[in-house]
Amino acid sequence: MAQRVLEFLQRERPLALAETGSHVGDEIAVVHREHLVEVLTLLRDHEQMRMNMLSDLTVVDYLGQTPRFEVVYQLYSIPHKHRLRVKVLVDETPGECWVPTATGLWYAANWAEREAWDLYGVRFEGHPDLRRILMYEEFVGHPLRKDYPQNGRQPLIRRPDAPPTDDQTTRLMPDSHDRRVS
Amino acid sequence: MSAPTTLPSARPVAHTIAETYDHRGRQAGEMPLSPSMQQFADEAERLPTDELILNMGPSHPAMHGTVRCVLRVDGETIKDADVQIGYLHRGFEKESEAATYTQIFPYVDRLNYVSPMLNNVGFAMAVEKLLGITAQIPERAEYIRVIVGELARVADHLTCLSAAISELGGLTVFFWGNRAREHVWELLEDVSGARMTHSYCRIGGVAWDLTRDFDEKCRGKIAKIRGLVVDIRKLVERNRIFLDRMEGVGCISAHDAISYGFTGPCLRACGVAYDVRKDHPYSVYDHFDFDVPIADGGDNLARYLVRIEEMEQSLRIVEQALVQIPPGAVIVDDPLIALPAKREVYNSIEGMIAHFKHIMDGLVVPAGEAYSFTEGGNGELGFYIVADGTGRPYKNRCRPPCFYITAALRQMILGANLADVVPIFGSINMIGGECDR
Amino acid sequence: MTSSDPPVPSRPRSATIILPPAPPPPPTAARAAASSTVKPPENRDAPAPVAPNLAATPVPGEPTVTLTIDGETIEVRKGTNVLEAAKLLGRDICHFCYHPGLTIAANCRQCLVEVEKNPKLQPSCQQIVGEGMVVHTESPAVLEARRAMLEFTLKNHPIDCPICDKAGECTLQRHYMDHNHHLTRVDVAKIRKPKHKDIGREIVLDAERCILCSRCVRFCEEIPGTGELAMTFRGDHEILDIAEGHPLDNAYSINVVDICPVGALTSKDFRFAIRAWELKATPTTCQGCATGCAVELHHKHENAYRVMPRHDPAVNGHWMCDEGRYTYKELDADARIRHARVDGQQVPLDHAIAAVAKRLQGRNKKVAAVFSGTSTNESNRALDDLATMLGAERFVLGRPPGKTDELLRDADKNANMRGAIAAAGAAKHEGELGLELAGRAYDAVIFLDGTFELSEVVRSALGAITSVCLSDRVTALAQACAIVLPATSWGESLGTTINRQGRLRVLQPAWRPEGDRRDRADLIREIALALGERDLGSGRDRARAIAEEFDHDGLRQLTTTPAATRPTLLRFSHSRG
Repeated sequence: MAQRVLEFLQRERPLALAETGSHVGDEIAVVHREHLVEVLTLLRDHEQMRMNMLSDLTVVDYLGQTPRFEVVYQLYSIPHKHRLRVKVLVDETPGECWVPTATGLWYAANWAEREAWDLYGVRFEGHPDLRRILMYEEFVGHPLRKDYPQNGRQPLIRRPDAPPTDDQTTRLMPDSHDRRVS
Repeated sequence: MSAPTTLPSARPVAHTIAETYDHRGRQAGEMPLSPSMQQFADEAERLPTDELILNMGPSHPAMHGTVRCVLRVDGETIKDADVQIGYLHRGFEKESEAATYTQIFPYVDRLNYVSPMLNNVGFAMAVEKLLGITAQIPERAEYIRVIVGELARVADHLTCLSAAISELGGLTVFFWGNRAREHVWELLEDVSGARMTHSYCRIGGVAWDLTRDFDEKCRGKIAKIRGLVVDIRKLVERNRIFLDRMEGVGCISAHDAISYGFTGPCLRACGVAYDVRKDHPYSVYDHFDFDVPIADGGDNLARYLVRIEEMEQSLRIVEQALVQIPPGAVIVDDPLIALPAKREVYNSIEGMIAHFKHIMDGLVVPAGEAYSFTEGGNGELGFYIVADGTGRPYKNRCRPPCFYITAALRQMILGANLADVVPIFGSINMIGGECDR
Repeated sequence: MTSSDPPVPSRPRSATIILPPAPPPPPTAARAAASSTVKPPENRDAPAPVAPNLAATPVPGEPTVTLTIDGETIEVRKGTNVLEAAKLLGRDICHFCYHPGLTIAANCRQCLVEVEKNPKLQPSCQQIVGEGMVVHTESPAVLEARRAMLEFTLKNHPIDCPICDKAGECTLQRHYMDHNHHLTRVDVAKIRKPKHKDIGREIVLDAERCILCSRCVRFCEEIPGTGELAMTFRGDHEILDIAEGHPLDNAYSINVVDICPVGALTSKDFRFAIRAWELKATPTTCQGCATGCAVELHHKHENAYRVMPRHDPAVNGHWMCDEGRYTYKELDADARIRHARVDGQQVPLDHAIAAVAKRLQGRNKKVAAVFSGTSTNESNRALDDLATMLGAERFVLGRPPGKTDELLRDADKNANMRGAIAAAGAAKHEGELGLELAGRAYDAVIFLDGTFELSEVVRSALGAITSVCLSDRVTALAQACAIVLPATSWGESLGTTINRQGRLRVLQPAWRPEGDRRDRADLIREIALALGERDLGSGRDRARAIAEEFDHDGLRQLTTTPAATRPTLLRFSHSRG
């Protein structure tokens, strides 16, 4: 049933697809970033597709590979009852680590993209309010990245009016050894 | 700010569900104000006022699950709201990357902690999908999963409704609902050993069989739960205060709900017929005869009605399952997936090695990815698991149904009264553990 | 999961576990000579391998053989065996008794494969490749043979996993899960053999667990040549044993613990210390002597538990000596210096650096800079720069010489004496330092290390002058010095040493330093800045420069990629996950 979706995409937007496949019954389409909004709009609006629900939006971090991140959209059609997983591959270099927002297509994308930004550091261009959602504002780094350690420590948040303390630890040479502060 | 131009009538009026109330709870056809009262109202309208930023902070008796709403109110009306979640974020995904698949069950329990069995089943099914053993799960295990899952759903809805109604002031419902929930917990405690965080499922089945007297006990408790639910309904459904505060409040259209990613009772309360158990039957749900209640209106009352009816349907499923359940094994018979029997572990090196490697290395799942979805207490509970060929997942994403529902909270409370925030929030059943993970 | 599903989109699902990269090629002789002004005393290469060279990768110029394994044709070096050839195809045929560093015994029969035109299954470790040979490693007969062989091996194996050291890194456990995973068919009492028998200085034998693969027997005969171990008796009663009065006492005895596929031979030092899966393995270099064996440091959080050798054909082959294994004890957490001390008082690091600068300042100060053969090139070169700034007199000290042999142990127990001498240039000797210090010839002395053993007289002279010690652990010298700066140990440093062959050896940090501990090069950099001199650059920058100087790819990668993205070794190499 979802095979239809892939066939439809291959017919309608062959250039947008980087590759397609399936695994344990799930259909997957990897899409080029520049065609992402176009493909998502087509999937949402076309009569045969009607994927009116963005079921989930998340990011997978394949540390060590380029491109590093995979932004994964799980789409579902309530009228037709078919699903599709759409992926976009994104690199980690600051100029490349972005994806166009889907908030114009589904309201669900608003919070989901905020969470993806918060936890992975992938920007969503065009998002009306891209700020952290699960972590607090002063959090440093993106915790679900694979190079954020499991037992990562955060700098203490000092209140602006608190006096400086005279503790023994110094901030002498922040770069001298491999501190993994992302 | 504008004062109401009519005051509610002082005479008690008989209410039925059919009568409609507008957004502000004013009844149609109310009497106009007396001239002196009208003058008072006009003066009030000309008073200089300001908007107030109000913090319904995470520590709040009604913000169960810890949510912070920063509200900009104009008098009693909410002009803008910023719903802030994340106070219960415990790093479920990050922790799962360091745990073996079986070790994740306790984490998964604590997602939607009022219906933990449904989370257990959802996660187990996702891993089984990756392993390709979905067809080999023994039937008895499937039935057990359905029974405990539906009982968990009953507990979930009871929690939601008793909390929601108690926040309106109906404390009696809270006590009755809790009593009913105790019955469920006693049953599940018999089966799994814990009242709430069961960790009862395993990859390939369930941990152990039901107790011998489960059937009898369960039937007795179902009868008691039904009785309590009937009492709750009698108390609440013709109560004017309840209807005033629930009907027409917190409306969301079906189109918006779908766009927000609503699923489960909140979506069915908007009139959209989508239930994973019926539309994509999994486990043995296609063996049962049950209905899925749909309500129209998308308001608090609709959500209440869907939930209260769903409880009855869940109890129906449990009764049928108790009749249909076959004898047999409760976990798949594959030494690479299920732990060997303790008798073997202590008396043979093969059993010892198998047990050892299962626990220490974890259950090896071939590399790949899968998105598996079940009907959780709040809707489509999905697990997107990326496996890398080892015993620990590479990524274990939980698609939380109430995350997407809570995203719509702002839209639902805009323009409502301050006092409406509590019933609206109570009716969407936002569970902090699931929303924030 | 149907077989007709097309595979997952071809983005490879790489695990976070990546096997270690091949060891880097050694620097050319010319460069090595240029970096040392003193001719190295000897240039001893790795011990000649005893076993025939079984590496399967074709070498240009040597004859090759073409064969087919599981339908895939491959060209391999002539003289290799089928097991190594299959490794080239990524197929890991299970085995117990075969070891590439030892002669072939073929007694475990676990590696049996089907070779066409041969009526019986052949052990792939013993089957030398032939032209046009067709091999099947996954046919039903082979799978059944593997399963059955494991069944036999397990028949008498004691149920010791909960108390056995090897659990978690045990080859038997791994092969059982991969190739047998059935429950037992027999209900017979297992044979009893001697358990936890002390057979030597370092080793405890549990004869019940022994699967009689004879790797340890061959090792003792071929590598140290002492041959203490032997298989005695026959059939069910066959056991591994030593001769009465001849314990397992050679200098390489702990290697048998590494090569034992099960927990029959365990190290007294490591027994019951920690479970193998809790350990992380960081590839680094042994600092026990000038041989610089390639090793893995096994650690959990900030504690080191053991050292195991890595395969490096140019330097140490598959082995390392027992003395080197004990070097992990230098990383003991209790003896660590975490904070700076000035005149006995613990102070913040910047105060201590300022105190050092203040006391070293001044035109007529006579300063002695003591280089260390046990510190890295980066530290020594940094001290060289500082000594130039201060006009200091240079000395090079190290550990006294120790036992040596033909194999791996070098008499020079300093891992980097060559690097220290090269950094120091023309330097005076230890004896003179002691006299001159005692005779108050200097106003200040900087020790790069705290491990020098100086006499009581000399140490007491240190109290009167400005003495600075960059030490990672509490030692007599560190306690005698006026200012102690907390340095990183070899377990926490990114650095290099030069071994007796003139090769560059790399140290990789296993954990982040605690407290105020810093790399010595970084401490010296701060001292220089506090003195108002130029910025010397960090230790990492120096390491990068050394990587360029020696054209060392591995070090280049280490110094340019952040710690998190570097591949780490499996926590233990036999793991399945």
